[in-house]
Amino acid sequence: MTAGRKSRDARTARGVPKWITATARTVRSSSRLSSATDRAIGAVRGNAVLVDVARRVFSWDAPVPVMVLAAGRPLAGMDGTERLPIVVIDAIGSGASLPHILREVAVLQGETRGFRPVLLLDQPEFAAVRAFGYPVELVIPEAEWDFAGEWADYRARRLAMMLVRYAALSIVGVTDGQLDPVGRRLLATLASYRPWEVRTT
Amino acid sequence: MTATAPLVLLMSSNGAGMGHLTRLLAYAERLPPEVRRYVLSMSQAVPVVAQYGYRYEYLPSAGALGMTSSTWQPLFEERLIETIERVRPDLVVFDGTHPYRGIDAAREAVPGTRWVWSRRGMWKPGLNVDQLAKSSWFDDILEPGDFAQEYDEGASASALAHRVAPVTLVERVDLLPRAEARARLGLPAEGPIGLVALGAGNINDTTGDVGAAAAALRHTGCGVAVTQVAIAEAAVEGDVHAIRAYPLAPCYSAFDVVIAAAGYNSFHELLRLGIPTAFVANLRTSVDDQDARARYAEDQGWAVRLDHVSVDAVTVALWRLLEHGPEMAARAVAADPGNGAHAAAHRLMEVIGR
Repeated sequence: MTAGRKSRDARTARGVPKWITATARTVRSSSRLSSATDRAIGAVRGNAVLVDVARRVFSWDAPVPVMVLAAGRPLAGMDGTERLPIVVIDAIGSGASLPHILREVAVLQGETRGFRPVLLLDQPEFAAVRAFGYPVELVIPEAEWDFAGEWADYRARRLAMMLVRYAALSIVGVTDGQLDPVGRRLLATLASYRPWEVRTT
Repeated sequence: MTATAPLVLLMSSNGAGMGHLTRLLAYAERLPPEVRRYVLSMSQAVPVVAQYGYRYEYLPSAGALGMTSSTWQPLFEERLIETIERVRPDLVVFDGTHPYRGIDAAREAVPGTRWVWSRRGMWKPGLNVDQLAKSSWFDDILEPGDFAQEYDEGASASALAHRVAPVTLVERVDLLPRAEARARLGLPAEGPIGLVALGAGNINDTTGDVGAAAAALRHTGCGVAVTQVAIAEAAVEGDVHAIRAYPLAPCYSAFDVVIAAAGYNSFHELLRLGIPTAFVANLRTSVDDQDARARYAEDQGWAVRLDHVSVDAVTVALWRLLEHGPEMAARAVAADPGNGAHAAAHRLMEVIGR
């Protein structure tokens, strides 16, 4: 009886031994160890049982993917930013409005402490983005496009790539020199909707 | 991009400063005029290539994104392949000491493209050895020479490569007359001025490299110029000139002395152009053996080497340079075998023609 009780206490509600979840927490909080788990993903691919174990242990089923990525200056000093959702800010076409958009993003980020932006630009305003410490991607401006295929497809592919490679939650666009209203609400919602803070142990 | 002239894609890794990008520009500027140039860079300084008429794309480095290298690598590979498939270059010239995994995949994805690794020497002894195995990813290895190659004890020193003389973007004939250089940089026409090119730092803190160098310049009666705008703006004493120019080398004649890191480009530009210089090795580089470069220059009597930066140490170096700098610099100019950028560009065309 005692042994059974001990056994249950040593496991999480989902039946995973607590020592494993503690180890996984350590791994997730370390960029070096996370790199090792990235390699482990490749090793278990194709084995349904191992994939399922790894998914539970390393939080592949976490509501928000854990990802090591610069969080930006508004969150400087904050712990656990690797758990925050990543959002692509599609600022293509923002032109002279970019400084305003960056401030808008920074204010929202500081208020919510609930997301990490990655900027997508079609102008090389790296210094402006660097001032906020945000990651940035650059596309060829539509006016300079002279490759085979359509620029719109090129842009769409870049956005798709960013969703996948940055494990981004969503894309927030820009309308009339400011964040798209729906996207802005989505970002604001992350002040209170914070599933990544739910602990499983 | 439908023209039929050869297309060379110049690809730079990030690294510290603009060395990789500048070296690629040195090659590009010596390619035959009909060759189309296209730049893919991990440096956020890449827009500077637009002044040469080159188109460019930016591919963020793992460091710029704050990503782990294992998470970044698939992103890099996907972006690289997308670019190569779209641009369809005849030749890719990669300049860096660490060819990233994904270059091999890009090569397989577009088999008609040839690849050259522009790999400068002077690796720190014992470091980066595993990277040499990646030579097999490339059709040719091009090594821009180093004035200090006698002191090269790194792994690449004995590796197979096509070696050319030291490469710089500018030639000695590009050096502007002093008055013109000062006017272009917005500097006073009269009086001695020293340039501090040591990267980031606090100019008000004389215990740091930048602050100590600036204080020493003032002690010796020189005006102070810095290559980082933010440093100049933070100066408590309002006599600091911020230098914004790319390339800066043609304007080096504006300065009586320079205190610079011993990175490949600064080292070769300053010596080739005959500028009295005190070199400070940046010991924090991952591979580049700047200390060996600085020691060689000092041993040849071409420049002063500072093994540490303090107000006193820099002051002593400056007095020496203000007195003997021009003759020291002249010795370096006399020993210059000439710019290897021409031979490098010629080699690139040979690779395209294979």
